[in-house]
Amino acid sequence: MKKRTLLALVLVAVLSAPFVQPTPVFASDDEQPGFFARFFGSDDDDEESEEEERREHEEHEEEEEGRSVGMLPVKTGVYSDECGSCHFAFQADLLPERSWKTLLGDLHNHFGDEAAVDEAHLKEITEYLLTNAGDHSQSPRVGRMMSSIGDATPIKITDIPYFKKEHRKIKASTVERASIHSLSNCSACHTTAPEGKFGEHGIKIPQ
Amino acid sequence: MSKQFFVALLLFALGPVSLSFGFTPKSPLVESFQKGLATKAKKADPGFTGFSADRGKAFYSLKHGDHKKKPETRSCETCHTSDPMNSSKHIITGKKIKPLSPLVYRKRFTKVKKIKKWFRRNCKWTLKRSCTAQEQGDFIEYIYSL
Repeated sequence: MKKRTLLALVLVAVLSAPFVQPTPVFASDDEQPGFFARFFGSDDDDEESEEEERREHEEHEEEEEGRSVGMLPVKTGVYSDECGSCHFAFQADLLPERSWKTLLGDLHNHFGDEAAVDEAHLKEITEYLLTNAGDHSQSPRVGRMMSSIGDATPIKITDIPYFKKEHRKIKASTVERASIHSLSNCSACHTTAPEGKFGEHGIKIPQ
Repeated sequence: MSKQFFVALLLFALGPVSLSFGFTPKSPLVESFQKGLATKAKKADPGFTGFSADRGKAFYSLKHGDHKKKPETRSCETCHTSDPMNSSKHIITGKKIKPLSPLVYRKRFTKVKKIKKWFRRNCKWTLKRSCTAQEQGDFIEYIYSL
């Protein structure tokens, strides 16, 4: 290669460096910040993002202190076997005790479908979910989630105000992708969901 | 080149091929479960002469309508695709489902407890009723015929 060509290549590389930034994973092209927004920052929900930053910082500190921020990892067992074969085995602490009671009380009509399990299994599942329900959790994130519920008894995790707030920027068209399918398909985007980790770091939104 | 070496090479090359054509034997437990089903099927229909993979195949793709919730029309294919050798996704939750065929996924149709459980759950989901003994036996026959 000629010296001049090499020099030109180096020059191009150096000049373009500020433009080629490692871009975080976004849901899709249309959700990426615009070209200028990358340099000047997006101007929407400034207040919110400040609040979020503060919260993330808090969570980081909590993690540093060794306190559990996330949800309870689901162990392999009757619960993951019986419930997790049709859908993501949702962490017990994602719902309060009263919600689990309501939900388990009507498995013959589980969101319109038959999902009954035999009695011995039901007993074990009930014990597991009620003991580890969200209202007994020490995790600060679960605490925020539970207090957002108030006195309500949601049976859908996706109905919880905290959940809705955290997912408000996800477009319906993103959720409809075959690779995601539903907001209740946690592990489609939260790669560390089975371990109970729903933090920003584990998120990878598939195409 | 020695003849032995050539034979060894041939065996090595054909190994995977013969495996993919190999049939999966039913465990004795599954055999006896099916025998029980046959007794019941005979009771329900004295003309019953044995389970049929062809009937099982037809049952697999048979559509059952009038469900209150979407999808209104359901068959085994709704979640397991038209080929039981494929892995698939649950139509409602999007959860991955491993292939039904024990040829592809060895654990399938090996434990009677699990077979019973999934017939119980999935027949209600798909047909809005329990499957008959003959339907179950035909289904197992079909799955093992692949």
